[in-house]
Amino acid sequence: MSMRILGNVDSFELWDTPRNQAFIDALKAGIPPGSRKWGRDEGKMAWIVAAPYLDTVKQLCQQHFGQMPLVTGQISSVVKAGLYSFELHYLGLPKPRGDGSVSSMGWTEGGWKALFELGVLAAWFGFAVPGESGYTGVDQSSHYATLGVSRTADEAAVKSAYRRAARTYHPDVNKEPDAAAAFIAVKKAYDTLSDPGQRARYDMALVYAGSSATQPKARREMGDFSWRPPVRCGRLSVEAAKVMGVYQLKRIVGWQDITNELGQTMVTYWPKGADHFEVRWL
Amino acid sequence: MNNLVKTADGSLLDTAQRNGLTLVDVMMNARVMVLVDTSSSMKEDDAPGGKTRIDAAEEELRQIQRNYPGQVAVVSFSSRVEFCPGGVPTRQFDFTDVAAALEFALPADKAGVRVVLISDGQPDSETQAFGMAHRYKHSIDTVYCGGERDFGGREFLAELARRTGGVFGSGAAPGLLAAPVTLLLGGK
Repeated sequence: MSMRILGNVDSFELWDTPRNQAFIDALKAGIPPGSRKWGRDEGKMAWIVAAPYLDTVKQLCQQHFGQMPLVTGQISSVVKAGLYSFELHYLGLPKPRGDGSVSSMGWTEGGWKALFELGVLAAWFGFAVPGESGYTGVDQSSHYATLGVSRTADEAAVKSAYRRAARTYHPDVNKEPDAAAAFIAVKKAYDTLSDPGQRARYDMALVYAGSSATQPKARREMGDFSWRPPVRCGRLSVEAAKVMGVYQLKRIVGWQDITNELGQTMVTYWPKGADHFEVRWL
Repeated sequence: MNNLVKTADGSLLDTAQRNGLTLVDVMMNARVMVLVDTSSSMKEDDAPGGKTRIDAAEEELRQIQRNYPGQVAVVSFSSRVEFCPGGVPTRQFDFTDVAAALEFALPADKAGVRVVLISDGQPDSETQAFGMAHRYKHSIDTVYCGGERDFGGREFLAELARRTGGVFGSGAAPGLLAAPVTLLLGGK
């Protein structure tokens, strides 16, 4: 039976692919979770994939099955972005995707319904390298990235960011396996950036280490995706395209703490082995 | 070990690797930045023992880095400027763009790292070099490593040090670089 693609408005269905684990792995690696699902229709199962990944799917079919699927129906790969607001309850760690991108999934409205490209997070938290975009342009390991502030952040902004990140990763609160290490990194970042002399030396060191061919290249080759968002939940205003019910973020416009009627702030984390994140109010 | 970069014992990169630190962590504690001229005239073999000027400079740099691990940042310059975290200057054998080298080292000067220029003088543009030196907050120390009869090169380096309140060192003898750098690092 030949494979076929059935187009919808913002997505398409891929039918009748032979069972092939390598194909499934490649598809999962190349397309973020919010943009593909293994769905049921009329008692049969098919891959349902967001429209922008049509070419990726075609290439994978060619690569693994030696043939292109037959495409029927209209597929609109240009999805208009709009402004949305939602409560983000948990932001996952960034992961590399098979297409070279790095992104995080966010839990909102009862599911993994927000997709954050690393560049979107880097732009919001202020540590994207000007003039560059995507994973390679993001200095994930700097103290600025750890706190989620820009290189020009003033003392007050650094202090505020430290409090937020410390609240998120304090080992008394956060039961993720490496929360203690994350907290130490946050503390080290604050100690450096809050002392003007240390900060001047650090900025100088970043200039030279960044100019060295050894550092970023080595990090890329090692596949180092170690950056942890300094905050994992919040009330977000975003510019996004909504595809298959998932917000595909183009830009974060606002990010505020979620507070309850007692004035407490929401903190979320994912304990090792748990099947869902946990919520604390501080 | 990184196979792409030559690494001298005690260099920033070597120190980072030995101690499990990042290059940024080590660079933060560097005390001296040595700008090494790798222009074509550095191929002259008039250094002691019949060595080329660049070989002599590199040998001394290795010794200094061994004695003061993680404290010396090496930068090579000729027609382009290159940060050399492995502590071994990249040999370019081209022009002598001192102004570009001094501009490259400005952030180090701003952060209080002492800047030492080792060269045989004769920059592409003395005017531009002096102009760049004028932007320095601290002094620039210079070490002459050219031939004995090259008075122009020697004078330029002496003048550069004088204008910034730095120290000028000269000598076609072993230790031409080690002496001033050791002094800066607090040794004898």
